[in-house]
Amino acid sequence: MEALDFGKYNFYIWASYALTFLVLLWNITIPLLAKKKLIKDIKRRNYLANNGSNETESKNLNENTQ
Amino acid sequence: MNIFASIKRLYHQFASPPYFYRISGLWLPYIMGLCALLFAYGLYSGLILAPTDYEQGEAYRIIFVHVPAAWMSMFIYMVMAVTGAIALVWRMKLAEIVMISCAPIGASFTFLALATGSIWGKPMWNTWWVWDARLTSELLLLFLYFGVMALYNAIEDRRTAARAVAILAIVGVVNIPIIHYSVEWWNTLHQGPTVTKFDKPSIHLSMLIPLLVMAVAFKLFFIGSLFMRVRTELLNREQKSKWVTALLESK
Repeated sequence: MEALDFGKYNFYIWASYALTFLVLLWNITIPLLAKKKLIKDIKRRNYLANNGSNETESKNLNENTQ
Repeated sequence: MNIFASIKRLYHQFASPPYFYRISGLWLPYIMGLCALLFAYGLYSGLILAPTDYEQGEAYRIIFVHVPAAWMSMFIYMVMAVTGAIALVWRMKLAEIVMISCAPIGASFTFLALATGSIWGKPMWNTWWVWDARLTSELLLLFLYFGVMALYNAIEDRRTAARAVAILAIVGVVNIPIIHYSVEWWNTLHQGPTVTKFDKPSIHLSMLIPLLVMAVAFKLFFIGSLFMRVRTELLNREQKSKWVTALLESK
């Protein structure tokens, strides 16, 4: 671990690399979560449409997903 | 003649949402896998193999994330502007989606370039921030990305919004050469270019290699992340179409 000790610059270097890691992580998790939520919403809407639920409920749901 | 015909066919194939969705899904694991390998090698060679700088000591190692992030911030803006132009001229839906999906990724890399630059500036220049040309034009780039996202969300109709955003993105391209040449045009605290010089890069190979490996890793990451966003937006826009219904039922 001696090779990863950057002396007085430890804080600056590791802060930069930690920030980079967080930005990359953000760029993966946000689209993953968005896709999961979207698929759930579409499936629910299709289910309600196919199973003859009452009109008002599926209408409300459509408005919510817009 | 046949070449033009096949290019045209390829163009229409890629513009087709189900085709793009399928192909990008096949490529995504390879892109991200290769990206992870390059990141691993880039980190190893940048943090361990590369020698200490004679002038900046260990602090220069921030270059391996700062410079690729800054390159990406400009590259993604150009992708956004070019796809914006395609969307304006040919009204291609996929181009609109790619354009708007670029904005948050580009903004995040611009933020990263600014933040790591600031962290690098503190020990080297003894200040977190100066209002010099390079830093100010890069900050303007971040605001351009925010403007693109805000404008897109302010207009109800997605296609009208995309057209408005495309114009903003194209106009904003003027900022890109300003960022790139700012360190040459104005006297500034920011150091001059070390890689993109016409004669010879003034950086040693042992530092250049990790820098380029990280740059390629960042680029692959952008493509992967862009594909993820574009695929979700395609599903969203086409959610009433047959291919999406069939796709979700098969799952």
